[in-house]
Amino acid sequence: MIDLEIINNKSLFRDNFHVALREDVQPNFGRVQQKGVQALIRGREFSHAAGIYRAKQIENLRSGMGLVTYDPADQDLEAVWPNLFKEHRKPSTNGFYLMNILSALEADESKSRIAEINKGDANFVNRANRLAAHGQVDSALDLVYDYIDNLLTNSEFNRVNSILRNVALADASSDVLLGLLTSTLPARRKLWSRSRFYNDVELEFRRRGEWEEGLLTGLQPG
Amino acid sequence: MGELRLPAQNPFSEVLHVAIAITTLREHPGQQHLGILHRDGSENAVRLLHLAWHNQLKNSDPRPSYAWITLSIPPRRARQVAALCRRVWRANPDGVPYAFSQPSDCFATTGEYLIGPTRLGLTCASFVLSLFESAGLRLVEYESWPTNRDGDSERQRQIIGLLTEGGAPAEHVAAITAEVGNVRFRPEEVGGASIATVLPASFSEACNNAKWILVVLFEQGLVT
Repeated sequence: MIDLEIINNKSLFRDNFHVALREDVQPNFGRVQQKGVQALIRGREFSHAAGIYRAKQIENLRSGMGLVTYDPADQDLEAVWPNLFKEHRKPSTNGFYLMNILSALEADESKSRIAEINKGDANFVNRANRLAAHGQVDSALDLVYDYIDNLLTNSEFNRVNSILRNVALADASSDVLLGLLTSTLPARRKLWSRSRFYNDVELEFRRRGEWEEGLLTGLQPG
Repeated sequence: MGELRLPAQNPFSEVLHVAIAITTLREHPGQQHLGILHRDGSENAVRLLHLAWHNQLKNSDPRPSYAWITLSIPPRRARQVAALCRRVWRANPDGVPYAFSQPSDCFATTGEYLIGPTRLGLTCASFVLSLFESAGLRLVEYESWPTNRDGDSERQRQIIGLLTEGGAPAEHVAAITAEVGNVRFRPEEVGGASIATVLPASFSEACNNAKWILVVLFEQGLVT
């Protein structure tokens, strides 16, 4: 096991967290192996630091253990963390900047998760379209508003951008398209793909012969 | 152009997606109350979403003492407003505070009311404005609304007194006292704006329509 401790040290590292081998800060705590990683997280910014971890691991943290054990069977993490040690280790401190680790971890996780996430997001749009096609338009809109709001609340702007970018316009319900435009309105300045989506939706409504005055008023990109 | 309708002739079941509901208040003569009628297709029901009082957001069956106003917005957009009504209702289980803040950028992406230094709360009328605003639909030309009209500050102080009597937290009362003098959007004016042919409505058009609405409400005895 490789033990890491994440230490809040804002005076030195501003918004970054300092990550060190646990053996450096708690020499008697654990042993070092190479097949998995443990991270002990402490400090008031715990939840921020924990934000990078997967839900199951966050639950472990919140349960009060304060100890996260990555499953050695998780090939992604097993591949990432030893590399991080090599790339980001600071010889003078035996430590790591969490932000560097975050970036690398997120990049790596994105490789393995992005297909799964995109599939889920696409399924959500498809599900809304199916509901609308079966006459359950209000249920479809409730799904759109709840799903998008949940993503925006969690600052998942990239995922919302991806959703807007990948909507199959020709197959989409007009109400669902409007729902996507309306539910993303409060976050329009953070959604770079919304501008193009807006233009595409306008063209799609015109193509369908559904365009009318005022249909998109107030929904313009901001 | 929107239309003013009376439930005796046009029951609420005729609300297509969304409409404005307005009534006069028995306990507060000269005051009106405003809310949003919205259809929930999954329940096949029309509900009245309204800010009844401090932290009392209600989503109830409308009473026949409300007149209702159709809006000149595309039905597809009206349907989005209805969806937003349901979302705001789900997102604010503890209600929305009552105050005199301006009705812009009030709801987060979650539909939850955003409390902040300039967002202490809303009135029944500004709640309606802010919800439509969140759907991208501006009902009034804010810049055309006058400040410090006769009776506005008095009404705001009266509300503060009622909040105090009702046990609202002292810090909330102190904070909204600083908002006395903020622009006041009267319920009948927002109703008048909703009838306008072109949105957002100017103050003068909203006022003209408001006078007519009040006449109808009193003539029909629509009192809640």
